[in-house]
Amino acid sequence: MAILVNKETKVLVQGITGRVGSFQTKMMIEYGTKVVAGVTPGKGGTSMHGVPVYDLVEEALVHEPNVAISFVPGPYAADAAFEAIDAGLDLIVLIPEGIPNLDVLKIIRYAKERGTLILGPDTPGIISPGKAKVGGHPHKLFMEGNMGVISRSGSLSYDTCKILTENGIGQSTVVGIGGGPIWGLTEIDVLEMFERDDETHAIVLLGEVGGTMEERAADYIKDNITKPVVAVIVGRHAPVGKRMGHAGAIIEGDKGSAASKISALKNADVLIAKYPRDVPKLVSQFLKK
Amino acid sequence: MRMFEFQAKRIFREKGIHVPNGRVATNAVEAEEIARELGGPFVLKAQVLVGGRGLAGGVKFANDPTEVRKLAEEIFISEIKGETVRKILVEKKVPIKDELYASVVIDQEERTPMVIASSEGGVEIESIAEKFPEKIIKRKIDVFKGFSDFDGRSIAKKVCHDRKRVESFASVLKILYNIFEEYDAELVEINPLALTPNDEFVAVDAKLNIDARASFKHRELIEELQREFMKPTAGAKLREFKAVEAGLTSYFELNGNIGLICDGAGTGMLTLDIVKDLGGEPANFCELGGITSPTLMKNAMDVVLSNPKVEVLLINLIGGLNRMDEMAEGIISFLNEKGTSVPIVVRMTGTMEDLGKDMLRKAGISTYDNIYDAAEKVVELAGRK
Repeated sequence: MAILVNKETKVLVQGITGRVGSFQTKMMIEYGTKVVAGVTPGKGGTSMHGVPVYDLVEEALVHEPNVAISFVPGPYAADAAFEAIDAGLDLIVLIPEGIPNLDVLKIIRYAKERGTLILGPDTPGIISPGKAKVGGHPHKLFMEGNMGVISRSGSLSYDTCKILTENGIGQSTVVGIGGGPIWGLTEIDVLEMFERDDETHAIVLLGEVGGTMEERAADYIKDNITKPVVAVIVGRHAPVGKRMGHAGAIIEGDKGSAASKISALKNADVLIAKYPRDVPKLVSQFLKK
Repeated sequence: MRMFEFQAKRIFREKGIHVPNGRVATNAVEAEEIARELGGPFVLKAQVLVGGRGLAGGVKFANDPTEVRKLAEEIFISEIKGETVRKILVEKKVPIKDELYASVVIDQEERTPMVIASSEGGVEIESIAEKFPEKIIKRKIDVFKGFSDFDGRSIAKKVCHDRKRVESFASVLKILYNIFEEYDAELVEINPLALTPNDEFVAVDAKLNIDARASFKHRELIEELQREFMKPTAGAKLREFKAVEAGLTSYFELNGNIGLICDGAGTGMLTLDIVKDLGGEPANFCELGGITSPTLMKNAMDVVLSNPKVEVLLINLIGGLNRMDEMAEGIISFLNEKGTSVPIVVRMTGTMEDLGKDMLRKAGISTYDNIYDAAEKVVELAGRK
């Protein structure tokens, strides 16, 4: 079944006519994703890569989209997200990284009230290999299979899936939750979905320094996850007090270090791989059944 | 983005939070003049953007205007934790009966604004939390509802021992929350919030950090910040400054000789870990961000290679939203326009990699397919420590 997106997913692209939005729309279509409509205010009536473009989400609803992916930049992102939430979409993938924090809080809070899921912001999106891609993944590196992958970082998930694919280990769904410091779907939310998904046999958790999300995920795994979990935590050599690219990747005092995350995960019987290249060996034992 | 104290206090005053009487001086003579107008005793506070200013000699006390001038001269010629002082805030010292704490932050885990207050101000909030955890009062504020009077009253009743002060403390909190909202703050903090012998609350210190993602809403304030900030003229600080101007997501220096450029946070940290595990010493961490452009890559090379410690450069690219043809274009245009004698090792994979690799090959640059081999190569070139 995979989680969040599959063959039936109908995608609406917000910001479809921008530089990144239009290119990534083309890539998603090439991959076989059903991109049914796009929205860019002022460009209604035109088309992009054969996809009809509308001024408003409500006008695009004739194509019955259920998932939106937004390339709308920071200052306008909240408005676009509210529009998709009001239109009743199930999931919104927020690609941009420049959305003001207070807007992110409002988006998440409003979405929760209306039953819409938010992935991101600052996320590469989501891919269920062989079924659909709603994001910017280099899809050649992915392959259909039974590993569920959760990552804060897009690039780290690409590196990990590349090595899994090279070793013949496919993925059910790969979810990039985003760089933080505020997240819609969290590691725990996605763990819960993978636990329920029949197609997912084992889970790879790709974490990084900063905050306490992995520590909380470890607690959750201990009590709720029956499937095997393998984790990589990057930033073992990250200095204290420096932002490691992601807004959420900063060690503050003794909070957020890789050592703390690794020890919490080990304590929950999660196997720790030093590098992505060590993941295939660790997961293959769970898949040979 | 941390604002100067004088900017934060100006905003506090405009919104109705009492701050000490005072003005900023740009030289010692002016400091003395301000002191004569104010009447003593005095506090001199260096306007710098680093923490721990007091211990580094950036805060001094004086009894008369002549002493103010003398101390101002000392502060102006000193550096506070590497920062040059361009302005000193000269204030009339506030008599203090009690010191409290108040702040508003975004709680990342709870995904909500959070008001924090304590009866134990004057020291860092971390040490209050350590010594008197029960004396830290936190309250989540609904981002749509905003701060209501009863929110303030509820916090104030737990913080103020004297019922007389509940309403005035609550009103300080309400104004503070409104500043947080209006200025898209990551942090707005008063520590200490002084209670004077006249039972008046005065913000002796003021901190306002604005969310950089919302900087487009607060241009005037940020332009002022940039005007007043002493631009670094050399060294690591200058390169870090240039990196921000160039739009790099992250750049800071380390002590080694291996320059790093990566196009994602996760892959960047992975690269750092692998290089260090192999015995290499990175000279910097540099992340382009997930959505980039040829110009950004060119600028990144310019910044990283201007560090004289860099003896070899590792560029690790794994494109998703980021296109490898655009990265190749950036690398080639840097080499054509500026050039370098530093050996460059490139790892490239992902979106449009065939085109990107082909462009580099034609420019005489070979690429690695995986980061482990590329890191081995770069550490070998740099020499293990």
